Amino acid sequence: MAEELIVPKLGMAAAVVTLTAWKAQEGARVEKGDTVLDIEAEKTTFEMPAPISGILHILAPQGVETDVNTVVGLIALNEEEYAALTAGEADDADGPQAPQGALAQDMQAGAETGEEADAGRTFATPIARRLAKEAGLDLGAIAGTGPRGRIQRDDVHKAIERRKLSPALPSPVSAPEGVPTAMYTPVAEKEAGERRVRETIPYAGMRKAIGENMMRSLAINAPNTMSGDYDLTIMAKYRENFVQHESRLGTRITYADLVIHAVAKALAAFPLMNSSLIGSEIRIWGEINIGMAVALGDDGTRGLVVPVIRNADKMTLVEISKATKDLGKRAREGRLGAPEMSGGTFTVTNFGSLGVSSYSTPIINPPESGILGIGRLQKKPIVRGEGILIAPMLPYSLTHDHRVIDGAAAEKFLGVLKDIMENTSADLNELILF
Amino acid sequence: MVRQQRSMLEVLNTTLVEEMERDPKVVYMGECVVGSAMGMTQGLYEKFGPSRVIETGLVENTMVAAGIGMAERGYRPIIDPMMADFLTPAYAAMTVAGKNRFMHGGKLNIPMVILTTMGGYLGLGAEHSGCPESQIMHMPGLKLVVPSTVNDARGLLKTAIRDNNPVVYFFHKRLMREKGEVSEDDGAIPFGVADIKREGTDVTIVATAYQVKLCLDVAEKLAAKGISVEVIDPRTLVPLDIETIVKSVKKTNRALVVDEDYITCGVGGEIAMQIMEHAFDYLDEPVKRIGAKGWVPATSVDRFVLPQPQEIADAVTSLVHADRVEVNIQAGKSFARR
Repeated sequence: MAEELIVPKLGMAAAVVTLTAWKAQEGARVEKGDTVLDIEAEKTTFEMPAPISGILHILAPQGVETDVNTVVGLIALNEEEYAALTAGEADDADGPQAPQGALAQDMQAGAETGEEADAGRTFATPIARRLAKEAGLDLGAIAGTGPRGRIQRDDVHKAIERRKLSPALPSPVSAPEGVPTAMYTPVAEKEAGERRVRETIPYAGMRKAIGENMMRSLAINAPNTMSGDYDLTIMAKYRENFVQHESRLGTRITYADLVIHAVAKALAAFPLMNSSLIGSEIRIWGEINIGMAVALGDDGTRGLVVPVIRNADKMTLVEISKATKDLGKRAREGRLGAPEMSGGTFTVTNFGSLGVSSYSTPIINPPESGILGIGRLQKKPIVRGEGILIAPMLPYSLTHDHRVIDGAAAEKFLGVLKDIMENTSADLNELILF
Repeated sequence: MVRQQRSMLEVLNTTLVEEMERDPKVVYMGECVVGSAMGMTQGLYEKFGPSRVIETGLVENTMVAAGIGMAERGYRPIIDPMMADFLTPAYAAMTVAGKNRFMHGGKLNIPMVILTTMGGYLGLGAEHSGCPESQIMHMPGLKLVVPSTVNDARGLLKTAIRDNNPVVYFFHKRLMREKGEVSEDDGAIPFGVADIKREGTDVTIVATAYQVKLCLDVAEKLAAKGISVEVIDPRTLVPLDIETIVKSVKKTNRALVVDEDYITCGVGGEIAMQIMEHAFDYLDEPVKRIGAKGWVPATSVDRFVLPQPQEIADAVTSLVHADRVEVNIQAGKSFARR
């Protein structure tokens, strides 16, 4: 029995992935564990391994977008089985087509019932097919505007125009780090209406993925933002000690590391903030996986990614510090894999390290329920007892989904976090080195 | 080349005179030709006499059958049953006319023209309003001419009379009084050469006879809304210049066929099919067709049965996914009130 190659669910939000490149030819022998297909989902790539050794039969061509859980290929155990799989396709001179009929059906258990038999078919007019073929464009990557989503002539013309604007975009996955640069492909200055356009930035790739995720968040969440400051007088002393012993710890502890460490502890103490509203349930997650927003490009204009530190509550500060360094470096190099980009349950965004601002209204990364923004650390006069003294103050902004967590509960979480931030977690003492 | 404005009837009349003067074998025979019910035989009897202008009575099959015999014996008969609708009794003879040359190994020529009027929009009732083009197209061996302009009418009639095969020549009653420019040279127009009556880029309309005029009027209105329509007149349906049509469809990617015959198994269906056969890879929309609905035209219901300008405009706007455009063009004013 041939083994099915099924598109895995990459990340919590990704429902559609792009099949960027088949790594083995139709009819080629593949060994179990070999990469047979590269998949791109939103901001990351995934290398699909062969589940068994055998002969590859490709069902979906590369370059197309497809739903997760779709069968995109088969691995036959032997030549006979392969021959049986490909029988009746001999006259298909154009090679594999977009997934059709039963092969494209949603395999998800309990998924939408009563879907039309045509679901998954790509409708395109003859001229659209012809133009796309001539231009080397995959119809699956073009959105149709005709009846039933039919791809028409002008849709292909527009896709060709878009490609002209960003020639690096058609195969972004071979070099993920190329995507952001492609977004800034300068074009000749041209007149658009009466306004002079200096440059056109394609709203595509990562830019579009971020944009759509942000809009989706604002469309489905009830965001409420609370802000304040942490007095880091005590934490600063700890950090001073840690930095002095950087070489012995093997990592330079940053305030961001300390915040993630503290947030993980606070989430463990206040699990409701570590949850997602899914369907008719609020699911409080068994793991605390903290996403850390990493801006790309020196000026932060090349997009952002959110790698995830898994089980952060079970990690020591040093482990967290090493993880953030590693993930940050790989994010900037475009080397993050799917597992590191998915499964977050809460996000920390440290805009203070880049800029000058204190407070913001962070946008929740769905389906999470909360995000903590950290502003610029600054010495400020504070009132302590009857006196005024100078203290290093760290501004924070927490956005929580009011559908899940009410204001009072969010305050409770912030109280827990404030206690950890200002008095430090007891386990930090173990790190103190003299 | 001097050009002047003349009506289609006037031009058909002078063309007949020219051809009968040019070739003494040309004979005119049919219903009410001496009295000239339609007008294009005005003065022919007086000029050419009873041996070349023959009144037959209401015997369509007989006149066509006689025409075949005359043609096979070296004459060039023009058979006139007055209206295309009246031809049905002559279909027996017409099928013979189409086949005889082939049945005799090409040894027989049948240089016969069946020249008559067709078309509605005049409130003349069911038996005087038909455009049975597809019935003629379905008979092998017959050529079919359907002119839309005065100059085409003249040039195609000359070619029809000079052709050695049986030719059916239908001219539209609503065009008889339409005036147009006529070239002063011989002006014979070859069969199977379509004419692009209006150039455009968005939609190709293939239209025949009076529908060409309606389509040109609609195209003018749509142009004001930024929709560019190309109007192609095949001029002869047999032979059909599919190449010109296909070339246009390859440019516009959208096609509409407008014809006055009944829509089922009609001219639109045939041309749409040929477009699909020759230009499938260039189509961006399913080909549309407009024709007469499947019930009979009559004084009071012509506008519900026959193609209407608004219908044509709606088909075009739907092909380009544009909003509806009100064209306010009226088809079918009585020619008596010209």
